[in-house]
Amino acid sequence: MTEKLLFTGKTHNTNGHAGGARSSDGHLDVKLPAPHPAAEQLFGAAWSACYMGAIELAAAQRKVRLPAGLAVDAEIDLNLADGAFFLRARLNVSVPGVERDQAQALIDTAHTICPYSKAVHGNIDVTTTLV
Amino acid sequence: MNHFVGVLHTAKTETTGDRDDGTSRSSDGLLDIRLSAPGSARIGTSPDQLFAAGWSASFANAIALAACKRNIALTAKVRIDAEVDLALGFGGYLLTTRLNVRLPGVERNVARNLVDGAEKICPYSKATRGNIAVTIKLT
Repeated sequence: MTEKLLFTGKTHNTNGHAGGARSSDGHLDVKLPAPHPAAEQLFGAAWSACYMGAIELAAAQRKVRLPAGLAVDAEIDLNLADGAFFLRARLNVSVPGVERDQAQALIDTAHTICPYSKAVHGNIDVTTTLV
Repeated sequence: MNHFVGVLHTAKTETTGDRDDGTSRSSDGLLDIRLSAPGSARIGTSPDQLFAAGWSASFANAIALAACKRNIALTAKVRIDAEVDLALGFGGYLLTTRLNVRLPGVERNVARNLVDGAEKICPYSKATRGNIAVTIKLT
């Protein structure tokens, strides 16, 4: 199997009080006034959406039917310790209609599939809770 | 060693549906977006665009901080064009990133020094270090 590019997200950013980000297709156009947890909100939304796709893929691989209502509430902290910034994440996952052990297995497996989980693996603290 | 740990802020988002048909909203309501697969008829953004925007915004702050530490005045706004690829490789799905940085009015070797400094302090660069391919270019 060779590597295959699926899509590329392109954005243009400017900083400062009137700063913002705009995607090349114009569908994403957000103001990013500093200081505001905008970057962390964007990361929370990006990771959650991709992670939910990974849960669906994990369910399909295991032939588990996922009823509607899958949801992820993400909390991304920006921290400062001894002058250094770092992130910490909590993902609170709701998998209604799936037995708890089965749901736990799905959310664990999803971290090995989701490219955002893999991108931060070992570098930041991530707590995933089945709610 | 992290002797003192202070949380500066916490971003809270609620996401339902996936990258092809989801919606995501922040607890303060300032982020409220629809997700869609690129090229589909549904109007919406993608996780990769969101991540590109978030990382760039944070990286711009890191450049400003690096400049401040070196007593370098940035006279014009930092501009970053980011590209985040979602790819499928041997080990499954993976991300690759390119940040194209423009620092108007800053001499090239000074700009390189600032970008290198920013890469060490940006929390998104740190969070992904060693796990994904990142190319940072001065344009």
